[in-house]
Amino acid sequence: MSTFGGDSWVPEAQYRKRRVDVLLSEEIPDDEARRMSNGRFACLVCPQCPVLDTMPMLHVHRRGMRHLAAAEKQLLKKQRHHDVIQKRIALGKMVGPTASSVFERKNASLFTATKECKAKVLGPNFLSENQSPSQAERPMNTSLAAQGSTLERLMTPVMARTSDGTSGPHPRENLVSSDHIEQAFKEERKRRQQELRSFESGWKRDGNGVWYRDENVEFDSDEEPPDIPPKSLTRILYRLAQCMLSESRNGLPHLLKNVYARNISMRFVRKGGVNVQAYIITEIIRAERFAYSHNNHSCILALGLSG
Amino acid sequence: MYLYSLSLQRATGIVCATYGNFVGGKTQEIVVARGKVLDILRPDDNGKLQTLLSVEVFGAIRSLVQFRLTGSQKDYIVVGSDSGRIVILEYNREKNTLDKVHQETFGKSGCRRIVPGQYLAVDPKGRAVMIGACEKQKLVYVLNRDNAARLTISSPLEAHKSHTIVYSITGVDCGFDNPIFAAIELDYSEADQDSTGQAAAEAQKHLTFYELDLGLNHVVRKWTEPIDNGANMLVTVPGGGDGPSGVLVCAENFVIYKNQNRPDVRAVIPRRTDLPAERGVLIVSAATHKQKAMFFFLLQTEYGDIFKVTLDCDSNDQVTELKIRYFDTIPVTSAMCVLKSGFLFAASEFGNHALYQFQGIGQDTDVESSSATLMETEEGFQPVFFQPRKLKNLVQIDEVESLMPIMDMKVANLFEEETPQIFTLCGKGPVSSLRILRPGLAVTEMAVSQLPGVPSAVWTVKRSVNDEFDAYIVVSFVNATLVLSIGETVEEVSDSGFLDTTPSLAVSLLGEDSLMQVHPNGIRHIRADGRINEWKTPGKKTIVKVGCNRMQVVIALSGGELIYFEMDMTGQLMEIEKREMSGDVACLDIAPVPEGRQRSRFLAVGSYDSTIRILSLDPDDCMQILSVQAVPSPPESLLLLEVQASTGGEDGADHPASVFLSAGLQNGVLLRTEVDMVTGQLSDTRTRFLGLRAPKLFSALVRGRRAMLCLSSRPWLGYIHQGHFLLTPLSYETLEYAASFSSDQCAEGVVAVAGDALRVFTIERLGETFNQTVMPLRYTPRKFILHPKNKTLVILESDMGALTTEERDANKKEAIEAAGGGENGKMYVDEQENGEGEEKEDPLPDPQYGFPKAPSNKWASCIRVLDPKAGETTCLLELQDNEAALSLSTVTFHDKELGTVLAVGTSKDLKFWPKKESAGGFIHIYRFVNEGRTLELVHKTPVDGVPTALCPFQGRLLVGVGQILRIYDLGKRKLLRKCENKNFPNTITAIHTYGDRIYVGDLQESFHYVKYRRDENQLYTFADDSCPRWLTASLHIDFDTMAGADKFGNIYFMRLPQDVSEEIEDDPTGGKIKWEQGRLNGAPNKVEEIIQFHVGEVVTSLQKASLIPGGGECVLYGTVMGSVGALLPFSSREDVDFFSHLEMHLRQENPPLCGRDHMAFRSAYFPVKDVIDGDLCEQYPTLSTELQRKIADELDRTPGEILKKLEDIRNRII
Repeated sequence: MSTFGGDSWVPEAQYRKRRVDVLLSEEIPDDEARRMSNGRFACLVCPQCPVLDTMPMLHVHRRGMRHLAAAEKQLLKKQRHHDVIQKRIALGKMVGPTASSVFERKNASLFTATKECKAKVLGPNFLSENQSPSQAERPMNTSLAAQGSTLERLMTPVMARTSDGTSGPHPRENLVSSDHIEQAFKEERKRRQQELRSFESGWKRDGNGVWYRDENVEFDSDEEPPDIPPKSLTRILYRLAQCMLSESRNGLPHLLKNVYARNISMRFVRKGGVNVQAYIITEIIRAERFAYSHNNHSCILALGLSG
Repeated sequence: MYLYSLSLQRATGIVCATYGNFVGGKTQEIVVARGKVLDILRPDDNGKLQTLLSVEVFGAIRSLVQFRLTGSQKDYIVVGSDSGRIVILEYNREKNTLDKVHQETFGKSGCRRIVPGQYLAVDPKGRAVMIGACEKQKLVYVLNRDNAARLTISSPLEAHKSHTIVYSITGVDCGFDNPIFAAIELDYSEADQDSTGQAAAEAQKHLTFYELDLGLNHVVRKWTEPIDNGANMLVTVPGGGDGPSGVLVCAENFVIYKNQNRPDVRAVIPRRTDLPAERGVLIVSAATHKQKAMFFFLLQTEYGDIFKVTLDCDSNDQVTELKIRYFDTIPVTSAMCVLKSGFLFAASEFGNHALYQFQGIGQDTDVESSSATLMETEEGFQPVFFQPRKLKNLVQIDEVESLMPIMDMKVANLFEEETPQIFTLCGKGPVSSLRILRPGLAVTEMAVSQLPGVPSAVWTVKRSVNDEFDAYIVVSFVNATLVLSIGETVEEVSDSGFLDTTPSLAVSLLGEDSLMQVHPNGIRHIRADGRINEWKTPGKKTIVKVGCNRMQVVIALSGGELIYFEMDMTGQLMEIEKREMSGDVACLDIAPVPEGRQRSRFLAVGSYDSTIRILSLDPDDCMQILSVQAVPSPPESLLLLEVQASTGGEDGADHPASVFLSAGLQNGVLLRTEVDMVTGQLSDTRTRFLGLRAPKLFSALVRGRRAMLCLSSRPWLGYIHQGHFLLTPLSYETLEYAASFSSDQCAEGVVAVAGDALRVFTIERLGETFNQTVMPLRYTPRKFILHPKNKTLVILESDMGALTTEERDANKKEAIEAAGGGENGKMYVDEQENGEGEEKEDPLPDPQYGFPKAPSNKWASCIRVLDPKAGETTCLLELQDNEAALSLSTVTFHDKELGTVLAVGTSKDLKFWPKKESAGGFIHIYRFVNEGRTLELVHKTPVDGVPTALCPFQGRLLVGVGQILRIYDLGKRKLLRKCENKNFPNTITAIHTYGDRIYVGDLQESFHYVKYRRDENQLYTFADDSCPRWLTASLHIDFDTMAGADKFGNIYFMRLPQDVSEEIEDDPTGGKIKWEQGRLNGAPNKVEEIIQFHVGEVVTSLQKASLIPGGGECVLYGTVMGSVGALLPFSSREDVDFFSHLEMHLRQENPPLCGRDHMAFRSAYFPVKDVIDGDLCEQYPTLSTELQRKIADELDRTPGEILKKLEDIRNRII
């Protein structure tokens, strides 16, 4: 017996209604509407998520102007999202420590320029120091991947698929191994901690990197200045800058422009001359501080911290 | 955030006290004011002080006097408070309440200079009362009675005199002449005008008599005379036929008798021999004892010595001689009351209060100074010396514990018990102590005896119903029963008639004088003449559960059959009815036979299907189910507790007779339900989680009333106290089974089994929330810390004007040598008592006699490491060179091999007057050696101020030195100053840290939020408070929130706005914090106050803790008055609404007793914000039934629901 009692028309009407609902719902994708626990329907496309009482009402809503506009917007968003994914996958092909970011792509020239300069300064073999050949050979996708993250595991098959047909990454291009980077990070962090500890205990550093005592702070009489070298990076870049200055002055602004991306004014560089070196060093330190404060690894890498 | 404030322990210190006959009848009661609480105390027959009534008045009580209208039998209480009103109270015996008889407004509220309330005096004949302010104003009210013999009060008559400071007032006893009031006054009008200060130096105190002319109805200054400038107190001398009238003026070193038109009689107050010459002797409290034929005064000096003062008169009632005789020495009191029953109640200024009994009235030969022998030399009057001796005239018979003042408090579970312990530093000078508070009642263990096996149950049984004491203790083992007879000793007997080869299920007295033993195979009925009736169980069934009272027995057989027996007229146990239950019975109980009835009406049966049934035992519907209650878990034990109807009387307010069914469930919950007396319906269920074990319930006797003992993972006692049912844990170990116990050594005890031991104990101090373990300390404790790893406490103690132990030892040696020479001829030493030999053996204990006095700039101080578990001091370092330890902290310096060290901030030659200054300070660094039990000095670092606050911070030490906040690092020979910020307004008193944020509490200006920048090695203040707060206690709540308390008795919470906090934390450049500036030297950002509450007592410590296992955290506070309170955050909006409405209604319907408006009191300094006063809400049950119902109706609830809510929220805290 029907819940509505006897042979009334009600069950039939009910069935008809349900059938209409089913038919109507067929053409609505799952991710665009949701049936809620109270039996109503929520449109997931419109940003306000309007709730509609019945399926026909939802259907009418879906043909409305507002919904269509929202749907178009969503489509665009999806497209963009898809593009980004594509781009990432494509970038994955490129071998380099920071292939994951768009930033890297922009700075690709910078990166190669830095590499070249480094090679010049430190000799051609500096890259393979402290790393086993196998590590050097291994193709590197991202800095994140280098840390063995899940991302790496996810990305690897995609990589394999997309790099089909092309020749594998060149070993010489695999410039810096992930371990090396991590090591460099660790060392730098440790060095930074030591430096902060020295600052805390009242040591200060002058422009030449020489430690001196803050006169308002007390020290043990036999306390020695901390044995923390100036930044290794600074040392490298100092030489790098020297070399670049001597070779081509035109290259420098371009380099710095990329290094400091947004936050460094170019007027220092334009001055040229002898003081430029000092400027470069101070600016590099600043840029590095900026990079640290934002945890911007790619930026740190771009600065050549790997040295 | 909304908080619920609740006092867990009311103030224990006493501000003032008076005594009189408030209940009516012969007995005398003591009324004490404990700041904002008014208590009525009475010594009971055993000489124990019992609290009759305790009322929170929501105002500061400043003075109390009692008076009696002529010919009346009952005394009234006059209260002077900060309400700007005079209030006259009468004790209502029927309701056990204080009724407000009159309330007259005369001025603004608050403790003000010229608004009366500070002093009260009554005419000894009860015709008028004077209420005075510290300055200028004095009002006199005429008291009378109308035709219906009700007390009337007149309009006030003014006795003002501007530009006068009042020191003391009292009523002069002049019989039925016009009432006279005496006052010590100082006129400063000239001193105010004279800028040279000459007039101020010459200012003179006067004794002034004010006469109330009852005929003309006005007050006149009748007589005024200059008196000693050291005068501080007046004591009335009986007059009008009983004595010479007049007053005793207590001045520095003298007591002077003064009266109008009579010559002064002056005697010098004897001095202790070891008192430095420059110190005077002041009287601080006085008591008068008056009998028909004689009277005397007891005056106590500021050193605790009591002197008996007597007056000799000639035939014209002219005083001829004033004698001051040394009486005894007790700790300094704020008030003394001499009761007619021969007791002396001493309300101590600090530390425990005591009740003494008079052994004598000091008539033997003791040091005496008399006006007749007063000798005047060029240097002044010749002093009289005495030496304190042991108590001779008084003997202490009771002590009332007092925490006042709580100097510091910490909550931790150092003993790994179920609930944490509260460690408090209490007291001052010689009466200082560490007190460990545990929630629960104190238990006194009377006896512990080992048994041959592990017992399963224990009962006590009387031989006859008329016996006062129990005759047997019956202990059941797994397969035997042991019977012990109680007499002079407790010993095993075999002639009791009990079957000892089987375990027992129940043992009780049946009928008038027969005994019953229920064992698994039957019931054994032992008649008084030795006949034994045995009832055997049918078939193979065994008895599993028993419920019985004096007339009825119900047994449950295995399989679920219930059999009901009743005693018939011949004393035979007759089977009446059977009933088959659906399953096995888990527990059952019958209520005791009500007074004047044949049988109890209800049987409660608990089943394993998680139900409780009430069955009728009436012959009409015998064994019919009256009601069923489903419970969340199978019941383990049941107890029907009948609460007798009570109408006030000794203890307890009105409540009708009712029956409560308590059930201990297997999940550890105690369920309490009211049983309808007629229908047996169950209603109003309340639950409370007691512990991990299923509670077993037993009935016990407490103060002659039936109470409930619940044994879960710890024992609990449910009893009625002042009309409220309280369920409180006992501070005792886990027990298996218990029974009440009564013998001539122990009238109301409990016998219990735990493990293989039989324990007998009594429960003490009912009504208290905490019990205390006291460990005495040497000097006033200042601060302490817990060392969680070593489980030790490190306590700082320091006293001003005291001698160090070494100096005292040296002095003592010197004194002994000097006394050997016998050159001090002026000493009237009682040789018998103070013989040298005896003194060596038994020196006078400091807590009673106080320290020998030293010049006020001398400091004695020590650092103590105390193991609280063993209660022993493992290390005690006395500081040398007049240093005083003020602050301490443990700190672990980074990359140093010392591990955790102790840093102690000390100050040298600290003095507070005329200006706070010191000759510098030190930071001592101690290393913990010997497993943290002892300290070893590493080095000490001089600093240029007083290090008032220490705190570890990122492997270094933060130190507040005056206005400077510094970071110190550990150096080889001293601490190295690494960084400082000098921009704090006054004195840093507290430092807390969290991450790289530092919260600095300033003495006068609340909290400052500081950030430490490592790269710059700088401290930046980025936020502070906009209100000046005189910080006394502080607590870190969360990253942005701090809780503090100020010296005016407020508690407040302040929070840094979220956006500011984010801005500070996420400032990448770091420039903002550096360059941003606030207005008027303040910080650029201001914190918001989110909680405001006026406690009414100076809060000295704040702690975050949870006092119940698994309960939410609340903020606990300890105050100077010795109270402990809690602030519990509400978890639901509904509760907030409910309680704020309840509070609102109570404010209207139940205005506070002393006339202060509740809202105004809680907003005394800042408007109260988001705190609901639980103390007010808890007054709901004390209201009359109609009023309760009225409020409940307004709230759309029943009174029962409101009571349940109140109980629930209390149970969430403790």
